[in-house]
Amino acid sequence: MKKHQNIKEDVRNSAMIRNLSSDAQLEQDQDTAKNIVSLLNHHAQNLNAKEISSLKLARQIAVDAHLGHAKAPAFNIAGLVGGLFDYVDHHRAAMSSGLAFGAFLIAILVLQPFNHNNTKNSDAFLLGSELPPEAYADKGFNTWLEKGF
Amino acid sequence: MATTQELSDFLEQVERRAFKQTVYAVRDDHVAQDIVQDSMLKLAEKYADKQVSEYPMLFQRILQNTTKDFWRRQKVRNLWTTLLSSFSGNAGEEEHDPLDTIDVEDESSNPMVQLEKSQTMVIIEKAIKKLPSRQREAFILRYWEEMDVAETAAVMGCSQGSVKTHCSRAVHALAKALGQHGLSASGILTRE
Repeated sequence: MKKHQNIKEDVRNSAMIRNLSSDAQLEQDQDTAKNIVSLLNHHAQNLNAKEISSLKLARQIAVDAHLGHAKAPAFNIAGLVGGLFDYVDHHRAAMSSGLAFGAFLIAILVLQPFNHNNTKNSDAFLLGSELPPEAYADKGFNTWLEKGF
Repeated sequence: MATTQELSDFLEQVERRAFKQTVYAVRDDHVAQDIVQDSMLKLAEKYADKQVSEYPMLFQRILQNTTKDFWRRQKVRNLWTTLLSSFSGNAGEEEHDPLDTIDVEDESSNPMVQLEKSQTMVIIEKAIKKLPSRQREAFILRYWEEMDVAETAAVMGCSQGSVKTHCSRAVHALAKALGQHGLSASGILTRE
């Protein structure tokens, strides 16, 4: 019984030690991260003049856009076009497939009149239309006409 | 809804950090400038109706997504470049020289003169750039942007457990990189 209790206590102690070491590790990680971040912050505040002015310009553009958005929220054609371009940009794969399919359909429609099946119709049209009198005088024509039908 | 002044103040507060964070991710100052500008514009245009308190998380999410978009576009461009260059055969002058991208120690910098702080900074910056992207994101959001684990997980779109793992691995990798240069992990500014 006593042995059983001792085992339980040992397990409890080892779990406690594990938790303590994991906490200490976490604390050490956080200290390291804090030190690194303090250096990174210091470095980020010391950018060169060109980078600072570019960022200032970028901020100004964003602020202007925000101002424009706040003033004219109803209908904005530029925003609509921009939004359309954004949409196209984000769905580039789908748009490309759509365009390819559209081009394929147009190609089929354009090539349709040149299809081979129309040959018979065009022959019938030619034969149905008025022929010059010389055609009837030609014996060869009559033979061809009989053979054809 | 945030006022224009609030937006301006917020952007002024975060722009430099955002720029450096993006530089670590894309390793190109000009691209980083573009990404930060795009992100600022998206925040101003698409989230003008949000409260200023929501801006930090929104901005970080936009920044992460814009950076990912850049990598996606870069991947497609590289694919096409590879395909086209295989057709064109010898690319001649346009050919990429791998030596161009190798990091070279700045010979003009004299270690005796250079401040220890800036030396340490170079080591840290290199180590951060080398981190896997998810670890870098987690480290930056959790420690640099001072977000809690839940917020970091929300921005990264992963579980809180993953955030903790990424953060821990990132800190250990950075500490290891510092250790390799004879710097202690806890007291970075003091040489061992």
